[in-house]
Amino acid sequence: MEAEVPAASLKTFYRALQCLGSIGEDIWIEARTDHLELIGKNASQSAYARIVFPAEFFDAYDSGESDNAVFRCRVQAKQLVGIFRSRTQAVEQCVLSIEQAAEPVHINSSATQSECRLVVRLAYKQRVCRTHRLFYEACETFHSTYDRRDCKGRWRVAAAHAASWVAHFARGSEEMTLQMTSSVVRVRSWTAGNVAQPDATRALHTELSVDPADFDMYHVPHPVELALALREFRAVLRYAERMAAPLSAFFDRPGWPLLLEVAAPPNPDARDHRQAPPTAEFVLATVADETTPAPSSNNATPASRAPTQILAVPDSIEPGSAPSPDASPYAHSRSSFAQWSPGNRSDSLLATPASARRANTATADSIAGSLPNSLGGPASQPVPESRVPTARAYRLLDMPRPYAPPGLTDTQLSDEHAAADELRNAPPGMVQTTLPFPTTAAQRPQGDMPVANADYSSDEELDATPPPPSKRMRALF
Amino acid sequence: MRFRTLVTNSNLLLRVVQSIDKLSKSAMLKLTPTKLHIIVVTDLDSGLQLWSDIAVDALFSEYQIESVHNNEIYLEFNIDNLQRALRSTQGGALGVTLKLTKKQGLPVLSLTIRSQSASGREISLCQDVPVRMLTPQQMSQIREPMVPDGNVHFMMPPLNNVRSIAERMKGMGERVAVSANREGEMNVRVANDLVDITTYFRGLETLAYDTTQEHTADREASEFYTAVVDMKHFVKFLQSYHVAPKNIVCCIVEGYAVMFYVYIGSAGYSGAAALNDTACGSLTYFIPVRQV
Repeated sequence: MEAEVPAASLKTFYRALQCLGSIGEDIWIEARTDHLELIGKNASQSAYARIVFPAEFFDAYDSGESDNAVFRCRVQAKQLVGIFRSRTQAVEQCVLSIEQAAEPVHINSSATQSECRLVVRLAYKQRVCRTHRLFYEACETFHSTYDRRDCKGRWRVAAAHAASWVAHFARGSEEMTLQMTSSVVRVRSWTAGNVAQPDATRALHTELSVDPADFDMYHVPHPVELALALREFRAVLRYAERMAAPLSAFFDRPGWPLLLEVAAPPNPDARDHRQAPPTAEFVLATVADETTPAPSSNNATPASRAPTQILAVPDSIEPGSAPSPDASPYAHSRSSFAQWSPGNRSDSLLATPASARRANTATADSIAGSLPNSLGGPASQPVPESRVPTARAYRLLDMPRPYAPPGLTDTQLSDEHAAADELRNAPPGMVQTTLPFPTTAAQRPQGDMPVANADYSSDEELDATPPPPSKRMRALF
Repeated sequence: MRFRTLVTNSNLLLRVVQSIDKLSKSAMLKLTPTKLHIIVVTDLDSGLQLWSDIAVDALFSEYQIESVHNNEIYLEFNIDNLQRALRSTQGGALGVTLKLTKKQGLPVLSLTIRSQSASGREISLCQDVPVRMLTPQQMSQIREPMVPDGNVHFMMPPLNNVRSIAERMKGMGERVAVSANREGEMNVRVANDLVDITTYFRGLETLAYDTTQEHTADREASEFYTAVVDMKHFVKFLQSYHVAPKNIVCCIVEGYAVMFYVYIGSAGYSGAAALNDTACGSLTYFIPVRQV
């Protein structure tokens, strides 16, 4: 197989590789006589991507095989993407080719010159040439068996629009829900975490309503709500934005995958290679609903209700076979979503039982535990007279300020004198807090604590440092 | 308990929240019929504290608040969440509404933003910031620290300069000595075994304040008052410059604390004269002296 990427289209090629690299770890290459396909899928097999470069895209393309044979292999995404990442402006020529060993390679042979490698040769100006040799593994590729003609709902929207919806989501959001009716489209975010506690450590929840008139084409015969992983959707959006192409979506019902296509319309005025931009299709699994039947397709039959395999290896599957046993835990957790009733889904996804999510949910940092239960340390104990500052004490916000606005917080003057007395006896540098009511700690007789103890390291004895939050909570509540 | 308002100046609110973003993960919000207080307490005895108040009229309109305890509402929220929510209001929002509601039985501050999409249609965006309600009893346990008389007050030099300097000094030591005299000079000094670095700021505006108390001018005007504070706290304060980088007053209480008052008014002018104008609010940073 040999393909020469035109220098002007290197960026496009790189964007395609980058998109596949952000979806999965490997990129599968399938070279047919009339086009080159790059395929990727993610680890939990819930996202599939396929970008097709027609032969006209390249300056020179030769699949190197006879008419019906196809060359298939797999390379590591990181390596391939890394090659094209830097300094592609000065490239004059870029050639991808497969080098095969001249003879079978034995383990002890010293034939290091000829090995099976995917060779990427970048020729720069001044006759500088960079050659990368990547290890590839010849293997089977796979294709999605879902057809967009089976999908009843579809829409198309400019990529920038779609990106602006997702831009409002918080950083840790994991999933999004698309609720589409004939009059409005609602996009919602969802994050794993401690959803049940009335705590400030929960994540931000975003909900966005869009008018269908914003779409280039919108056809949704009946209301549909789909929940899908945000990470892969964002990867698709990024690709569409960079290609400046509209994003088309095809879907049917919850549990059926969402098919996305990004295809720039060919530009008749441009030079030849621009007339054949790559077409990209993506299949993202959605969360199954309890009531919908599982999607059935010609080759692969998924198990009862879980949206599992969206891929079919062409020759080896038979109808009725169960999905592959090495589905990742992510697929398992998705299948348990089938327990949710549709009624809950109309609300935000915060109702999701946390147990249904992955095990590595964020633990709730006990930020809340440090406020305000632990605040309000007991009044400090007096210390010997020798360290008395004679200055008057003020509450922080009541301090005399240059022409400052008058007192800004509630003033409870009756407390001020008592507090001032304590401060006079306290060592300088200690921040005092007072409580409006005596605590159990302050009710201890004052003479107990050791006198003439100017050592700050023994703060615990002075009872000035509040104990850790957990102990505080038991004491006060 | 009801709280609902239109947000007219979401920009200012965003800047205030951005200023406190670096200080801590969560903060407390106290809403009263006339003012909004944001309180950040990192560590009760030795941590940086922020007490602020902003007049409600500067931020909101059609402000409605009702509650059983004096029409005041207290809650605790995650600063990053609120900042993210407020950032969505940027870029030409038609209307922003803030209200306290319950979603799935849990309290949230709901920010509803109506804006225009590129094609002119209306897009409605709702950001729910989860909050924790605080009881009045919990809130009353949070008191401002008691502080003795201030020794010297002056206007800070432009915060960007101080910040870039302090960030370079950050690696040198854990404690920084901030000192100033009444003639408009300020020193920032950090020392460790090998080096001793002092930065001198001159020509600062000093501020006189009329005190009726027994303010003993126990030192010459050129003598310095010093407070040694934790370097991390100092740098954290300096990173909150979004609101009013020129309108900041520094007050040093020798051996006790350093306090900064950031006045929020209309943007733009600076200098001592600005303090007299109807400031719509202020943020007070309290950095206690480092104990060890």
